[in-house]
Amino acid sequence: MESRKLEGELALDAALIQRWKQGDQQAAAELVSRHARALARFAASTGEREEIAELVQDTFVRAFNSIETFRADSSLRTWLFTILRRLILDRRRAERRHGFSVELEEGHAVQAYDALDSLVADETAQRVRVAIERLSPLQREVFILRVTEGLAYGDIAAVVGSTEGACRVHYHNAMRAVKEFLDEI
Amino acid sequence: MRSDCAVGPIRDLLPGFVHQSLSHGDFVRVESHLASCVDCSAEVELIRVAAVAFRGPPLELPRIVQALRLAEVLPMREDRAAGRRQLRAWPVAAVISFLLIGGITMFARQNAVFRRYAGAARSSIGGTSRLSTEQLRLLLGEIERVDVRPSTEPEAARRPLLYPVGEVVD
Repeated sequence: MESRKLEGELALDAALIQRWKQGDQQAAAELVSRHARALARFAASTGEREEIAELVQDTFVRAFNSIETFRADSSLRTWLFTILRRLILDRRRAERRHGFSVELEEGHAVQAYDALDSLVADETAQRVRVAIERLSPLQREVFILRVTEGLAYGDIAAVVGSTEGACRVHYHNAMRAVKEFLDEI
Repeated sequence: MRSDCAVGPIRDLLPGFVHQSLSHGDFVRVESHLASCVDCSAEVELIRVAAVAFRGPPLELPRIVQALRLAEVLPMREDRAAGRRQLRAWPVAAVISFLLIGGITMFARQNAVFRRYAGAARSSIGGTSRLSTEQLRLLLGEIERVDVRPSTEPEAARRPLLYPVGEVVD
């Protein structure tokens, strides 16, 4: 159903990966340029506050080191999201082991990104951000990947380790919750 | 802003509509639906706003590319580390091999000694059968001549026994 731009994107990524494997450094730069911002956006939406740039960098390093294991049954971006999400979870586990909890609380990311408020100047956008931050972590991930990145349910399921049907339910529940919150305020 | 639109398949397509990732047919279908559905139009607006609600920090893309170039060297480092690990494993492997070979050798040697003594034992047992038939007959005759009678009387004490009363009993 969703294939207007997608096929072109997949083909371009595949060509860039092939060029990079043959030693073309410019191809690596183009791949980074195409996907880095989406990864940073996703990391920010999950409540990561610090070292997002490092997380994005580590994601690319890991991906490029194991590019041979990348199967083209999902898009490169989906695969990168999966790696990034795993890195975020690993980091949170490590931080919990070292004694300080970074469990995502309601409104956590909103407070963390107050400095960016000027970038999201529109009041409606800020209210939507608050509404999204009130979602459960899994609902928020599904919602962000669907709405911000436009991923299909199958790809979202691959990223969050769930099923397509469950992701569809999470998305619609999240959408309903966001609308209800916006109606209340 | 509540959505009561019951056209589920269309609602599923709305994010794809915003991101322009739909096929031409789906795009037209959603477009015509939006013309008559206020709820879905509002949801499309919400998706548009939500899509730009989050921004990551500014990224230094050249730095990431540089990290990728360095990462190409990392596997070689890991190989070297694996080599060092292999080097550290050498003494352990040598000791295990030494013990294994030594154990097998000792086992084999002990088996050889056992076989040698077992052979000697067999030959010494075989010596008793070297008596001739005549000798055996003589031996049996001597045995038959021995008068063996059961003793019913208690044997007299070889020494006088002393009782506490002082009597001497012969």
